[in-house]
Amino acid sequence: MTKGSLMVFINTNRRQFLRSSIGGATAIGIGSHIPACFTHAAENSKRARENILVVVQMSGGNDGLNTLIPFADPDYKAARPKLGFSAAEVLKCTDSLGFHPSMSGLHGLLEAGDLAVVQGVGYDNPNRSHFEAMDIWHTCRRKQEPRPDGWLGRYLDTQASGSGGDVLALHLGQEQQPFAVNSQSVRVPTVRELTEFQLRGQHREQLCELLSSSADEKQAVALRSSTSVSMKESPSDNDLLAFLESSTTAALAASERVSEAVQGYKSDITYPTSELGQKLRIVAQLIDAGLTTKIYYVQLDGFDTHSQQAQTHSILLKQWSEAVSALIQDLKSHDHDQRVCVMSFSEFGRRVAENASEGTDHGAAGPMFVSGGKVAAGIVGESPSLTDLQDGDLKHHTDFRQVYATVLHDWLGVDPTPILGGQYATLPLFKNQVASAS
Amino acid sequence: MLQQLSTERMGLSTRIGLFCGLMLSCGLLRADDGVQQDRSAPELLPESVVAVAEIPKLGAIADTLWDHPLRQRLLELPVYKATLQSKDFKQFQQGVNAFESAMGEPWLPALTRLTDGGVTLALSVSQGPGITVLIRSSDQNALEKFRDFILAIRLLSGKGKLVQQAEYRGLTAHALNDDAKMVLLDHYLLLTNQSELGKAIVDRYLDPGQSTLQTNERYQQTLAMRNSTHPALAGEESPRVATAFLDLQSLRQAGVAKEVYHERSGNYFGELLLGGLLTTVRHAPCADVQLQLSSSAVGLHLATEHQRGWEPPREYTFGAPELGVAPPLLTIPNRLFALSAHRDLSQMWLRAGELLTENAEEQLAQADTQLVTLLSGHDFGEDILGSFGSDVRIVAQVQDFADRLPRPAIQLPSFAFEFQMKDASESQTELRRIFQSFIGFINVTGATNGMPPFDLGMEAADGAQYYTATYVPNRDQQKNAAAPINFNFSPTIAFVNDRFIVSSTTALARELVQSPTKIESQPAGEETEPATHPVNTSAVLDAEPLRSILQLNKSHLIANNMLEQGHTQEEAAAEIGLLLELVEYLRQADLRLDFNDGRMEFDFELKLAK
Amino acid sequence: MHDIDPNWAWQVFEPTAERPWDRALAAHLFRRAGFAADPTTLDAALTQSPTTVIEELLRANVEPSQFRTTADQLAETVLAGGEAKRLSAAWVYRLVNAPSQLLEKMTLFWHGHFATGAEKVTDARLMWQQNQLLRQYALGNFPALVHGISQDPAMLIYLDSVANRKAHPNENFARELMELFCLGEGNYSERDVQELARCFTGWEIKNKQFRKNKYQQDTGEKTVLGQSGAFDGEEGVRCVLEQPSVERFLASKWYRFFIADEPAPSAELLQPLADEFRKHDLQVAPALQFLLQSNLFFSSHAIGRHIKSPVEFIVGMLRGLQATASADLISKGLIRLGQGLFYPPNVKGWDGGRTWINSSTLLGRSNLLADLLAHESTRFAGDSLSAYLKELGIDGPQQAIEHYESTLLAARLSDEMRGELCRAFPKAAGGDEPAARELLHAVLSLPLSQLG
Repeated sequence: MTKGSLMVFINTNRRQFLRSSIGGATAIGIGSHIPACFTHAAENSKRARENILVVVQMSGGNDGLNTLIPFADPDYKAARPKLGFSAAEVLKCTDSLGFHPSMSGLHGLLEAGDLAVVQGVGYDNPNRSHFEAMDIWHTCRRKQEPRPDGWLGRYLDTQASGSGGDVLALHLGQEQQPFAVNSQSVRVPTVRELTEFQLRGQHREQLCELLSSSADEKQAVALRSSTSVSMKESPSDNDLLAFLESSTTAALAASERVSEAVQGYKSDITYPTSELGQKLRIVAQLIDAGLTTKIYYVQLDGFDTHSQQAQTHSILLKQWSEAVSALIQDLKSHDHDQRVCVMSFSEFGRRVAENASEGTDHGAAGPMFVSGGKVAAGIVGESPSLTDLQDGDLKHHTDFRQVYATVLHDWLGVDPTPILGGQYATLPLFKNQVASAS
Repeated sequence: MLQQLSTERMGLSTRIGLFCGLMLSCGLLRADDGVQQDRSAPELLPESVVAVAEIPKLGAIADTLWDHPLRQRLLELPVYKATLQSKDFKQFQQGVNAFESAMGEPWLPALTRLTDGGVTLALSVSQGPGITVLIRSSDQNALEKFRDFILAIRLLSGKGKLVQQAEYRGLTAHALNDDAKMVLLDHYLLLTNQSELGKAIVDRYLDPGQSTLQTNERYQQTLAMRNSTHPALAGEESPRVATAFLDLQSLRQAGVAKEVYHERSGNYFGELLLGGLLTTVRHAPCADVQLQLSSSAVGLHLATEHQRGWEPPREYTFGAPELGVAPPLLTIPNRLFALSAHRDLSQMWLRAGELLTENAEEQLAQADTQLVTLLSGHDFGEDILGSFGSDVRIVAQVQDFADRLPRPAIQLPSFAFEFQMKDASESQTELRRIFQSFIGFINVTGATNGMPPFDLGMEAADGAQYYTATYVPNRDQQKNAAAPINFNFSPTIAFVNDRFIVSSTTALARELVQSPTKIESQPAGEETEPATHPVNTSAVLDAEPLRSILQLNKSHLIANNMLEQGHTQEEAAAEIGLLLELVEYLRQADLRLDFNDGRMEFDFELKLAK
Repeated sequence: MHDIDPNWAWQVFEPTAERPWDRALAAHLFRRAGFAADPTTLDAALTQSPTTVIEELLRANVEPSQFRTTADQLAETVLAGGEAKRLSAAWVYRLVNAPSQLLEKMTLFWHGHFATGAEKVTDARLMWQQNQLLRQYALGNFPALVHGISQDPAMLIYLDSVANRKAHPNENFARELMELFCLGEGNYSERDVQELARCFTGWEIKNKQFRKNKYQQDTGEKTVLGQSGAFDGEEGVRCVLEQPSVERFLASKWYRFFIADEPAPSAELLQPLADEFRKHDLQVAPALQFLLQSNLFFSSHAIGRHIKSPVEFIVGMLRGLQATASADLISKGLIRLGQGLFYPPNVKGWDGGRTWINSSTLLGRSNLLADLLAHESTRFAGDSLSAYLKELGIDGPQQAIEHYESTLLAARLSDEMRGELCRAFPKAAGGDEPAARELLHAVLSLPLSQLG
């Protein structure tokens, strides 16, 4: 088989190729220089079983009380005379709690057993500035402490292999990169569109072919055979070049996989046309392409609803709920839902009492949402009291780092303590907890 | 901008190439002598034609362009000279040479002779897109030469492969490829990419009395409309150099340009400016297009029927119960741009759900929430926009920083909106308060980004009440002749009787307060304003102020060009110099949109410098 | 890997018949002590000794005034327009066009060393002022640079040190000064951090300017790195600079920047370079002269032992081929490749080496090149690539590849790879512009081309 026809083979049959066993592939007689690429594919299919975390950041401070609504609590209606929802309006989750009417998507997930809601999440001495509160959620550190990196960044540091393979984490969007993924050793790219993952140029096919052969050949004469290099020292091999060659193989494989994902991605799920919906569709495509990326990070802004909240909040919750449920259903239809978990959070909730302009002001504790096929569905924790308040805000009874600790330990399989800078009790968020890291 | 220019030039030569290519890809027949020759192209085209463009004097257009002083000056530009060296141009030049030797005379007289009976382009969609070109000449010999020229080129490019011939009703058609056919019908040369379309035309040529485009009711309607309007270019004899008929109803049914007919728009400003035009185009059965050309102007005219029943849900553009009329354009010295329109903004804002796509509407709804925060609880659509009449006026002006410091390093034009308040005494307090909160908000957010704060002021003068916001320069900025871009702005609102002015600078607000507002009091001149009668929308862009603002920012444009293109300073300076020179050739661009007498008329005119 | 003999390593390199002073070695020098040189510059360099060429590179420690005026004007335009993100485009223009390559390369080095991010500083003018400070001392006096940085508004804002009060000394700057800027981890104690922080009390940024607030100054006695006294900030910095770790720390960073990404050199190998730096009172130029003219620098321990940073990769390509391209396009591309100018990832700066490379950045390098080569503004000595090659007398893909090897690559390609390239792009060179650009794109997308 010539190289050209091989590339065609890889292009058209990547999916089958990835799924076929090593034995099967060798049996059909793949050329001699393919093993590097092939081993890589095999390695990917192994890593492709590892768990993935998708973080959805709801920026601006989501009104948790009108997201997960204690409709049966008379104090709720008292605090929310204009913005409150009645028992008839909410999408009921329990006898006393219901979702905002526009959250039919997430309500469906809850009923299907794919969503857990953690109530009353926050932290001591809550900060009500957007920036500072977001930094606290991102770094798990207060302002007076040094904050060189984010909690996900510290997780990435534990995963860094220097292999030159697929990126460990991806931020999708136009915004500034979230501090949470800032790491000491890993650069997290911010990606705006899928084409950034594909080799471009009019002569793409030729280039792929050249690069894939270059990665296996002894391409550099001088560096290897040291014909022109002959002092008393002469290192015979160049590790950096070997590293670049294997990285190129990995990059080409990623490019091919993403190209295929773009062209051949079939899904019966219609994602909402909102920006978030389109971002999460890309996430699904990349996951299905077999990228070994472990963290995807997306943001939805606009939750700072100081006045005339009803309409805006309803639109935002609808966008979020529809996008997340589309993602989960799509992953399910592609058999990835068992290894993907979507975590949604906001930097703070809002005050219990609505204000005079039919809005709500910056508050403290709020709910977090964790969804996926492995999630132990249901409402977790007590509903915060609407009368026992702290400066007019809900008191938290679950520290957000407990949720992080659970995700790190039970989902990503690492020791959360050094990452979070302390010991935090985990929560029962997952059905079959993965073996903890040593 | 320059890059754009050069791509456009490429685009033009490509188009010319395509046109030649189209001509080349056809075949030829010979009709019997004695068949009628005096029938016009619409009498030959079948009724199924949905769009037709007629160019009566192609030679005259080429002549006007060729002799135009602008062309002479373009020829002297370095970029143009470089283009002459390019491969594309050389190929084009070879084509022209071949044409000239085939026709036996220079290309301009040859083209004039060849097309002295007019050129007609027609589109049919009944059996897939079919395009036909009919070239009519009083000189049959010229048509024959041209046919032979096409056949020769076809032979060359076909690497000696022979041209297929076919007979149809005694005429010989040349088939240059599977689709393209060429037939000679006495004084007509017919080129088409669809055999059936070609046959239908030959049938009508040989058997008069069949239904044709000429007998098409919509075509007749359009002709009547065309003959009753003859928009004239300013101050010039302005021949219609091309006309077109569009059967909009059939085009809609055939699904051509679907996006135009979408009921909802994703673009707020597009909706605001042209939503009314598009809604009419969505309903109108047919349209008339006219292109005019003189040595000093180019004009485009579009007309369709208009019925008031077509307006919902876009009444905000049209006005009720009477058709709305735009106020006169604002006139001030150094005016760069002005737009006046009848638009009920409040209604548009409130009905956004019916006008805009879901995404656009959601964004607007979120913006609304943010605005309400800023507007201390007032609803932007209902309370703010609702307090204005439907007269919208926008004006932009070149600022004069000649003897003012601090002078911003980048000088932007100032701009202002003017509205009529429905109830001045009620609105004034509200608007003032909103302005103050808005400035306060900017000061707070600006402070976190290191911006200087605005100083609020108020004064009464010229019978007006002004509320101003001014950047106070700190000590090292006071004498700065390269100050930050902020110093272009001194947001100001002014109230004069029932007029409300919101301006980016205090100076512009003053000028507007002092300027006359009635159309009669505009300064008399040979070409003041394009609108001679009331219209729905009118806009004007003046080239001289545009040139002066480019000139003022020349060094920054050069620096910008260096960063954008990686040019050296000399290269960048040459490019920007060229841009300035090109703007010198322009005088003014006008736009008008009018709904009247059951008709919609849209005019765009580009005037060139004398 | 066997140990390198320090005596041999730091001797002045003398060309021999075995290792002549040829285009390959000259290109290596310009790639490291700059970004790349075009054939004319390389040929001119070969008429002189390596030492003379290096001396000239070091002597160009100030920009020619005309270039400086032009380049500053670009930055001023960006600042006047309030487009903070575009400041990096103005620097890209400088990197591509600066007559003094080594000065610009060292400015880039110091930007990574004294890493400061515009995202946090927000005021682009402060970033610009810092950039000028770095350039002013890039090849000059290191202590002066450290003193300047200690009072640099952008740096102090970046390190959350805009206020430093007597009652609560801010340790952040004191720590980074020792850990990241001067001594390296392990060469100071926590106690030194606290004491040094006291020296900086009263130093603050007000109105975007540095000033000393005497009411907040701790005038008591401090003990910093073994020296005691009622030190103020300047004396604190002096105490740090007198530490012998300074020259060792900088020598190891320069080794990594100029000689090889890996493996890390032994302390013995570095010591002579460190000594040279201290001997010249921490002047940068003599130390670099010592480094660049050494046997080690021109040996196979250095050649091809460095992964090009995104800036080296793109700017090197342009300079080597006398090309110009859109600075806006490049500066945005550099962010995607992980080296946004004025946007380092954190206070540690860029780690370099293997961390530049992953699937996303490798595809990104190739794609940025594709974008640049597809952009109409990209020109080679003011002309098309095919015309440029023709002007150089280069005919056919084989010669074009050789030209790219000798100016841009650290080594020759294998004959097999060249054959494949020639087969894939037979029309390259010979007037076919798209084919010429495709060949260049292919060559520079190869793994070998990422080595500098």
